Amino acid sequence: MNDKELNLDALENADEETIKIIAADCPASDEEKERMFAMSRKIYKERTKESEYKNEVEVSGVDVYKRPVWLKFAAAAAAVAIAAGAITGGSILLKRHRTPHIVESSEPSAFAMSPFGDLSSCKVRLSNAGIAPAVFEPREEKRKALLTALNEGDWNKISPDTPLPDGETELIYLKDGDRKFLLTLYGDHTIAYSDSDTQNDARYEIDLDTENAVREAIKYDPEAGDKLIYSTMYLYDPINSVWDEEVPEDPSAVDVFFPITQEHLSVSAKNCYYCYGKEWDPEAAVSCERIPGLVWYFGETDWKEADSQPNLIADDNTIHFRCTDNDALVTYYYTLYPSGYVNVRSENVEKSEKQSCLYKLDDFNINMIETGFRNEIRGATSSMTPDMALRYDPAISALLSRNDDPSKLTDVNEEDMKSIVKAIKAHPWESLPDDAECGKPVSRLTVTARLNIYDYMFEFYDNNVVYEMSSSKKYSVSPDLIGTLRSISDRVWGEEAVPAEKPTEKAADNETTDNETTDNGDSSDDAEILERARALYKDAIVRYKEYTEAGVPPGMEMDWGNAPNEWIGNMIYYVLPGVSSKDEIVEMFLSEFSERYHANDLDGDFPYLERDGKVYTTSANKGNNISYRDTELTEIKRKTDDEIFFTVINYYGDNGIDTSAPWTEQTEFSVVIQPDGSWKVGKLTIPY
Amino acid sequence: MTQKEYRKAAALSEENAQRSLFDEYFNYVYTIVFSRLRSCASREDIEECVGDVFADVYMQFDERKAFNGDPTGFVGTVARRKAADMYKRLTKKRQGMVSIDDEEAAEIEAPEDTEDTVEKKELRSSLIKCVEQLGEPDSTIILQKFFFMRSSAEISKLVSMTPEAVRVRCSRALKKLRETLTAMNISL
Repeated sequence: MNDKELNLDALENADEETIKIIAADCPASDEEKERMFAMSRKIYKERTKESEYKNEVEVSGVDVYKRPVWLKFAAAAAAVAIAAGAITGGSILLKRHRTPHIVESSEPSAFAMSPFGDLSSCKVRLSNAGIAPAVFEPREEKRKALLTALNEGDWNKISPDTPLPDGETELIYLKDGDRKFLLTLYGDHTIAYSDSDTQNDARYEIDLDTENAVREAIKYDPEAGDKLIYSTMYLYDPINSVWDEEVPEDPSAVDVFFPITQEHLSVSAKNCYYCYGKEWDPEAAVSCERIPGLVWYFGETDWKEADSQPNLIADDNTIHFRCTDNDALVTYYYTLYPSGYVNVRSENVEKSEKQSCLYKLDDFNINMIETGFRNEIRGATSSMTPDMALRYDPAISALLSRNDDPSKLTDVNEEDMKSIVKAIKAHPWESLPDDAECGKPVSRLTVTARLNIYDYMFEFYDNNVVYEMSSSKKYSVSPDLIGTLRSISDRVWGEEAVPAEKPTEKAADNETTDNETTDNGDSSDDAEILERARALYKDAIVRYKEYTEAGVPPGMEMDWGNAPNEWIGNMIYYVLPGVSSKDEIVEMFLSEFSERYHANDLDGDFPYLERDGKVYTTSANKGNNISYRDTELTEIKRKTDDEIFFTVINYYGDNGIDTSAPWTEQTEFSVVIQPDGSWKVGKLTIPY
Repeated sequence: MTQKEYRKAAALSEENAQRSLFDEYFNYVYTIVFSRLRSCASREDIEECVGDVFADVYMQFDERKAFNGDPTGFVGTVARRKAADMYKRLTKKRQGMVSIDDEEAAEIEAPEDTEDTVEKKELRSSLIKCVEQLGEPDSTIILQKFFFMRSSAEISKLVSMTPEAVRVRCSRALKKLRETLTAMNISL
């Protein structure tokens, strides 16, 4: 290095703290920023198929694409040849019938089969919502079937500014020599043509047979020979960059970093499994084949050996990951505890060798893996049908309506929840178009999954159609599934001793319900208990959110604008004044909320973490349920020696924001009676 | 800007919502991308990658099943991942296919290995502190010149000085920085 140079390579690929400091000196000029902003918009538009030119294009009516007449003769000739038993000749004719062999022409496109020319020699890569952003190369037989269908289809050109339908698209990337282009199949039986040189995508309606053939070809089936490619294509130029990656020798291989030996293992994604929970559960474990991105995070992690051996206790948020090498000789085990400890080991059955090491990841690295896993799984499940999605992201609770009364739901116990999920998984769900007919609503089911932010809210109709309200998707399900759910509903609601009635007016009802009988019989004591519980419940919801979401325990003051703050992991944390340890907050919390239900609610680093003798906090409101209207604690449900359970009715819908038909959800609230007679909050479900 | 705020703004104007998000996170994203790609990418590549990151973030914010709360960590993760992808692509193109048994392979893979040793972190921390100790505008000039690889003319616009004055200050600041680094037994 000469005297006029300074090597600052050490700052490359920097950690979060350094990035924060350097970012203050970001040198980009306004012009550069504007350029990058425009680039981001361009990529975004291309990706979302938003056309900024739509207003410039005049609607010119429907332009019917004329299928070349000679094709019909060729097809007829092929049919005759086959019928005559001239199998060889017929095959040749069929193979060659796409070739414009008739005569030389100054207009080669006149002989084209599709509006874009003869596609029969094109290479094909396909992508659908299930595997995106990956693509796959179909097996030869499927490639031919697809191209034949596209060549022989009826294409009717329509206006390019015909509104694009909502829903998923199927992508067909084609390459013929140097020519590369993309056909996008939409849910409204149309296909758009785009290439790098044309600004306005041409759009065509296609006949049903062609559409069906395309949809059949675009189903990814690795076992039949489709080859998956984890393309790193650029969003702004997918048409060209999708071809950059070669087909891997083993298309399903993923790179798993094994920190003990610092090796990057190449293993099949289908031999990688994960599950969440207190221990490895072979029944709950699912293959990473559809979520290969999970393993990426191990290679990006800063692995540091632990300098102590703490007593590690797994909880529901512990991640278990396993993979086996392609010879099934060595199994690699990773157990990731939310506290940042990761137990990594391997077992070689052939050599009877074992290796193990305990690592302690810092906040940034454990957050990266946890958030990465969560995002990958959420991303993958968002395009799956519910029966598949619940395998990858297991259910943790459910609410089920009465049969033939979808407006009333109640929470179900763990056993019933498992039965419901088992039934959902046991019967295939078939996606239906958005305009599929729904019959009469007969029941509703809400399922909360571990990772998905939004609950699955299913409305079942009497024609075996299900509408999932969060995603606005429709499915066709088996009558057997509906039958199973009906019998579970009968059982669940049959156990309700006193069915909850919807009050007409909340205020008036508050007064009347005070005097209602309970399953334990009418008594003034119970009326007092109920009144006391109502006050506690109302208060508990607010305080619970303050503790767990707002990041400021009730009664404490926080000046977010002026509090010292620091980047820790990938979040900004603020010093919480007046507290010297996280244990103090946990103690305060558990003085109000019973350990029976809430012992682990403040585990992990969100919203509080302790470092260098300070307690840091961060706030992130999880948002509210916009359908929520009101809540009422209606009755004492049952009592045990030290706990009282109450029925809670939550009212949703028709609240001015959400104008859908109103419904109720019934949950439980409980108080745990302390030895001195005081109460702590027990079972609690936040209604909004 | 949370996803909720973004969506609210997008309901009025998608472009304005995207611009707000872009303005808020631009420095952060640019620095992450630049930090990863400065050794192998052109400025155009870096700009494309930044655009790519934001396009992805807009799309994720549009998605129903995204997330609530502070998205900084998410934005950072997208930026790191995109930058890592582009790094792989660029180095792969440059190096061609290399057998993993090849001696060169280790060198090529080295920048991909994010193992960030304590030593590296300490070096970074000390280095940054030394640069900051130079005070303004010298610390800015040093970072612009030797990390962001900007010309004196470009830096002059940022610090409101003439290019000549930038060169003079840079030369003096560099000498001072070298002395400090030597005193701390840091060699780069």
